Amino acid sequence: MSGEMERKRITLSVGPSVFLLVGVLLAGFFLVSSLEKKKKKELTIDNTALITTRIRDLGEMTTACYYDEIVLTGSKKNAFSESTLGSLVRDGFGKDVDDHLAIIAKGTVRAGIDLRKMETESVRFSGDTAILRLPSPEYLDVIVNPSDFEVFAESGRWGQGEVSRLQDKARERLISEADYVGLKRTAYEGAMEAISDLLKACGVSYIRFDHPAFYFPMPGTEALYKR
Amino acid sequence: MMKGRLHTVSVILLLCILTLMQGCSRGGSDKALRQEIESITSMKELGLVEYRVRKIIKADDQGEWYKIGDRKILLSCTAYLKAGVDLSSFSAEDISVDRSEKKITVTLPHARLLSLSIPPSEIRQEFDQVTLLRSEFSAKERNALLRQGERQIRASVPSLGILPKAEENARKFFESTFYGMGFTTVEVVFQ
Repeated sequence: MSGEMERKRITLSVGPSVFLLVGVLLAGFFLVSSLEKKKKKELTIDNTALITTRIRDLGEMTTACYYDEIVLTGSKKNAFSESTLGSLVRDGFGKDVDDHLAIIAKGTVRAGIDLRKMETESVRFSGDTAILRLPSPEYLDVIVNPSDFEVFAESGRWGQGEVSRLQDKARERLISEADYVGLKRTAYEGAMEAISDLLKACGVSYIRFDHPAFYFPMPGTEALYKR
Repeated sequence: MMKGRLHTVSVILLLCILTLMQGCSRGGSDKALRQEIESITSMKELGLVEYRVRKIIKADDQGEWYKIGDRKILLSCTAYLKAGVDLSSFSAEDISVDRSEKKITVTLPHARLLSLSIPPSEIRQEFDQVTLLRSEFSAKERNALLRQGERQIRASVPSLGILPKAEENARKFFESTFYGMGFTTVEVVFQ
């Protein structure tokens, strides 16, 4: 009888202690994890010097800019996918066991003309008319910087070389999209407008353009550049 | 009677749905077209100098208190910076011509950084060291480090001397252009 009473007393005294202990442990766990979330900060790089390796004089007139977002995906085999177990998982469960990488790239293509390609005979004056032959438009910059990339999904190990090769495809895709939307033509027309404005401001009355082979002006637009 | 009314209601409903669908699809194509047009922007920028710079990006990840071991990484990248003048707001009022004295004065805005390009093909991982209990640097982590490097490059622009160089080239560029047009005095002012 007294032994049973003793057991009850122990149960009564141990029960709350266990609850308290579990409570304290849980509270500690949540406290640590919330502190961890707050504390988790971006790994910072050291401030290193910039080394200038080349200085180049330019005369580039950028007159049009194309912006686009591109999704880049890459996949490759890994040790597991090439193993017997990997092929079993793939064939048996239809599960993709390869490594995958998906990147969203935001890029910019800047187009215009390189004025340094203008030669002495590119500008002629006939009375009060300036006759200009502008260089063909070109893509002056194709920009896809680290801040333009977002790694959306990543499985497996991807070396910097593999990532860079995939990211470099963004440049090719941007160029083909810029070709598709006719960025060079827009840039050329922008350059004609900019140069016309400049020359008119300097007192040139009439401006005429000898267009490069690629440019066939739309009927009537020629008059835009004549006054 | 009831069946006929139901039929009429269903035809009206179908017409409503079709009209709505047509409206939605037209709205969608308009939006797509507008986005495509907005993806091309016009500008008037005169790039006058390009600096090619190299930067080493180094990070030492000691980890949190519960992580054992550390990770180190060294990346290198090349950046191309172009500076020049933005002629978007340039107008006839910024040029004053004195025909009798063959003198021209051009007022230009101060030079600024026009573009910064870090080609992916010129980013290299030179070194990394990861202890046994730590995970390798992921593509996402490396990109985050490179983004910081890009920010540091942008922040270094004032100390690089690229902007004074661009203004010097702008002066040379406009002087040679206007001397070629027959002016004898060319004044380039930055404002």
